[in-house]
Amino acid sequence: MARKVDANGDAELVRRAQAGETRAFDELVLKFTPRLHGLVYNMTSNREDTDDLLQDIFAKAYRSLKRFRGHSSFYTWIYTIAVNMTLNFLKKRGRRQTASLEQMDAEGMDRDGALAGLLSRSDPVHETHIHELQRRLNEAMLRLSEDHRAVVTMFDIQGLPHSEISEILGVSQGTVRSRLFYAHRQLQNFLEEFRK
Amino acid sequence: MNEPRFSGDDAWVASLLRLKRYERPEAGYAADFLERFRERQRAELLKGSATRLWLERLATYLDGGLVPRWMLATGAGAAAAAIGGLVWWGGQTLRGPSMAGGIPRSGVYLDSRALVPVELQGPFVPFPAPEVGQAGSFDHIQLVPPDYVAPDLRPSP
Repeated sequence: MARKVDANGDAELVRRAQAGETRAFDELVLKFTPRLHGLVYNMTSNREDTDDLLQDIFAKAYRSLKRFRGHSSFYTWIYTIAVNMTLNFLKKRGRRQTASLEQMDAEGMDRDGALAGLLSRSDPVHETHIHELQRRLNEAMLRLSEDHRAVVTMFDIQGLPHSEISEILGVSQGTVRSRLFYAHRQLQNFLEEFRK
Repeated sequence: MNEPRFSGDDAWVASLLRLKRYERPEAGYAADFLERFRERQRAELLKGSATRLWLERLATYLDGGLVPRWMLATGAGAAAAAIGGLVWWGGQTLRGPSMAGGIPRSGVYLDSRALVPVELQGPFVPFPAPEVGQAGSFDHIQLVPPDYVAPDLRPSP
C-alpha cells in the first residue's frame, strides 16, 4: 500500500519534471539517490565508481525522461537504467577492481533483529572484526559474475521481490531464482570461514 | 507474493548479506550529490556543442536498456538489407537490359531516369501525311539520283 502511494507520488513528480519543472526532478534525485547508491555500490564495491555512475545514471534518466510513458513505475524504470549502466560499466572495467568500503550504520544493525541474531551468536572477536567481515563480503561479491551479483544485490541486500527483479533485468523469474541459487552456493564457499 | 523461505545454508548466507544493508554513505550524501549533479548539468550545457549534444542524445536513445538489444539488432539488420537492396536495384537499373541479342524492337527497359517505352517505329506525327495526289503531297517532285550513284543502282524509270 505504501509502495502504491509512493508510486503515485513519483508519477506526479515525473509529470512535473516532464513539463520542465527542474525542481521536481531534483526531488526525484533526492528520493532515489540512497537506494540507487546502495544498488550501484553493492555491484561495484567502490565508492568513487559508484559516485561517477550515479551521476551518469541520473543524467541519462533526465535526458530520457520525456520518453518515459509510465508503462512501468518510475522506480522500475530508473532501476533498469541503473542496472544496465552498471553492468555495462563492470563489463568494461573487467578485472580492474579496487574495493573501497562504505561506513556501517551501527544503529541500524542493532535494530535489525535478524542481524542481531547473527552478531550475538558471534564471539566478541567477530564483533570487533565487523569491518573484516564487510571486506570479505565485498570480495566475495566481486568474485561472482556481474549477473549473479546484480541479482544478489537486488534480492538479498535491497529486498526486491523476484517479480520486480525479473522485470528490471528482463529475464524470467525462474532465471532470477536460478541465479540466486548458484550465487548463494558460491558465496557459501567464499565465506565458509565465517561460519565457525 | 510467495518468496521462498531460506533454510540452512541459504539462511546463513542471507543473514551475512543482510549486513550489507547497513553500508551507507555519510549523512548528507544525497543533498551533496544533487548539488554536484546540478553543477555537472550546467557545465555540460556550457561546453557542449550542438552536434555533441545531439550525438549524446542519440547514444542515450540507443544505449542501455531503453531499447532492447534484439530490437537494435533487428533494426540494424533491416537497415542494412534496405541499403543493400537499394544498391543492387541501382546497379540493375543503370546497366539496363542486355543488348547482346540486338536492340529489342519494342518493349520497356529501365534506365536510371525513368521507365521509358521504346518503340522502334517512326516518330510521332501529330497529323497524317497527305495521300499521293492530294493537295500538299510531294509527288510532283522528281527525285533524280546524283551523278556518283552507279547507273545499275539507279531506279528504273
